[in-house]
Amino acid sequence: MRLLTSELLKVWTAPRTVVGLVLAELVLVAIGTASTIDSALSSGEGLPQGVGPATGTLPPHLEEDLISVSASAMLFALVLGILVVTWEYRHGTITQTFLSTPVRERVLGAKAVIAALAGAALTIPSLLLMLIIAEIWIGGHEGFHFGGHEWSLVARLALAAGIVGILGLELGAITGRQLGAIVIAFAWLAFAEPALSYWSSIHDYLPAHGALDGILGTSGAAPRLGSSLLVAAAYVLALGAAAVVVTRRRDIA
Amino acid sequence: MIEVDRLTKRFRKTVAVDDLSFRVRDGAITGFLGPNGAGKTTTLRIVLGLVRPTAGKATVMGRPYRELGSPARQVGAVLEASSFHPGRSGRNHLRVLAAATGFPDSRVDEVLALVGLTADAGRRAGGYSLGMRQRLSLAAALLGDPQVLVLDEPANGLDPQGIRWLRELLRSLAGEGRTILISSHVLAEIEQIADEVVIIHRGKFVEHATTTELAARAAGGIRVRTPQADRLRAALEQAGVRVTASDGDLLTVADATTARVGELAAASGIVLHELAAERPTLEEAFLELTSREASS
Repeated sequence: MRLLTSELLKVWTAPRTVVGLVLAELVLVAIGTASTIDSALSSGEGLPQGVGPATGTLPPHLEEDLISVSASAMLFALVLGILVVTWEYRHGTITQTFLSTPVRERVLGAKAVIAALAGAALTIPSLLLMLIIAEIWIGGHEGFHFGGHEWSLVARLALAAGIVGILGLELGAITGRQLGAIVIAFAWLAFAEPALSYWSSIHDYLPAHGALDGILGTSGAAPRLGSSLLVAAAYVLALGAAAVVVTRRRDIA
Repeated sequence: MIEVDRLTKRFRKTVAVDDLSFRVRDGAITGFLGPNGAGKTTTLRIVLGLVRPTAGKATVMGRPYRELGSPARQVGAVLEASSFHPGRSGRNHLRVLAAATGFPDSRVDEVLALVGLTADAGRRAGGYSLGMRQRLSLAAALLGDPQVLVLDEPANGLDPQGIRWLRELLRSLAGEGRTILISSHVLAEIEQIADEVVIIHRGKFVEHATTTELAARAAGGIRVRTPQADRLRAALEQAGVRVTASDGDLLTVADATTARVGELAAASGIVLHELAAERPTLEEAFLELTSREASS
């Protein structure tokens, strides 16, 4: 509990980076939400002939599309997870951290909890902003409804963001370098996974296209939640084991 | 007690610490000396569990640092003055450390007062001067009121007042029976505060002695000032006494006592204006030992 308090204080008492991440996330979500709603309204899909957008019905699954926009929070959860450990190496505070708690895996464990909570929490501002924009813009339309199914998707998004936060932390702990970890993560997401996902046999076992999409239920994969969670857990455990081994062996010189 | 036993650390092909052994006595201030690159910082970091040794072991109070139950309550360390998140205030930096070890915020305020940082505690550490950062590092080391202090160049960046303050603080801490291991380049400072010194060179052990023993072992000389320098030189050399330097009316004599030089001068009817044994300093002893080690 002491370690968790200390790790939470580290984030809380140096908030500029987190505030910067949240602001960037909100900008992205605002643009994405506006673009999604505008596209839904202008496409006319689902709108009765001769009825204006202000009174017309909306395309099916618009709520899910909007939640998908909020899923961009996962990118920021990934970066925050990386930063939770790498800013300690960057600023040299890892020395004091390991002097206070020389059993390094305990430090990593506490950081993993904070990365998961912070990652999940990052979905809140993006969802709030998305809901505010949607309520103002299309709140009066028939068919815009946030019910039990939508909230279950939101819960899945928070869960996925928490897992991504942990994966980011583990990647940061393995590399020990802020920029290096971020470049590796984005290179994996932008190039490696799309290339690997062509092999259908391994598609479901990829961390983003398989496990996280399954948890989010964004690829018609809602029934696969259990298996997706297992795959994600395997990645968390494998990367976690590597992070512990590397961190224990690393000289803080 | 800190014990270093046959410690070796290699970084790829570089041997930073080479089969090094020494013990730091309880309740003493021990200076840890060596030229730049001698392996002092690496040794201290191995003692503190931050660097893994290639061979050998280091223990604090009989146990490896990693196995100490609550290390912050037993060992305080100052290793580098820039280990702060620049956006975090000095007080919050200490609060983070206090939270990890279970100390209340009131202890943070106590150590801030002890190092004279109370007025600046709310400022971002990124804006601190080097001296203030050293004080903050010391505050962090003292958080747990530890019995053992390991300090790596704690006087770096301190102004003369700060150095004096540090000296008095360390003396006061040692007076309470704490064990202090301090590495420094400022040999005059070490000479004033240390009871013992451990000297290493190129990662190897060179000497472990009290500061008094070490200074006494260094080659001292005798200063003789006389208006009859040529005559005195001849009289001394005739008696088998070596004159190592001469500059006008000043001679420096080795391998003799002041009494012997005075008697020889009197026997030759030579007037002396000054006759004094030069007290060798720790710096001279250090340079002599390390240069001897370098040439061997």
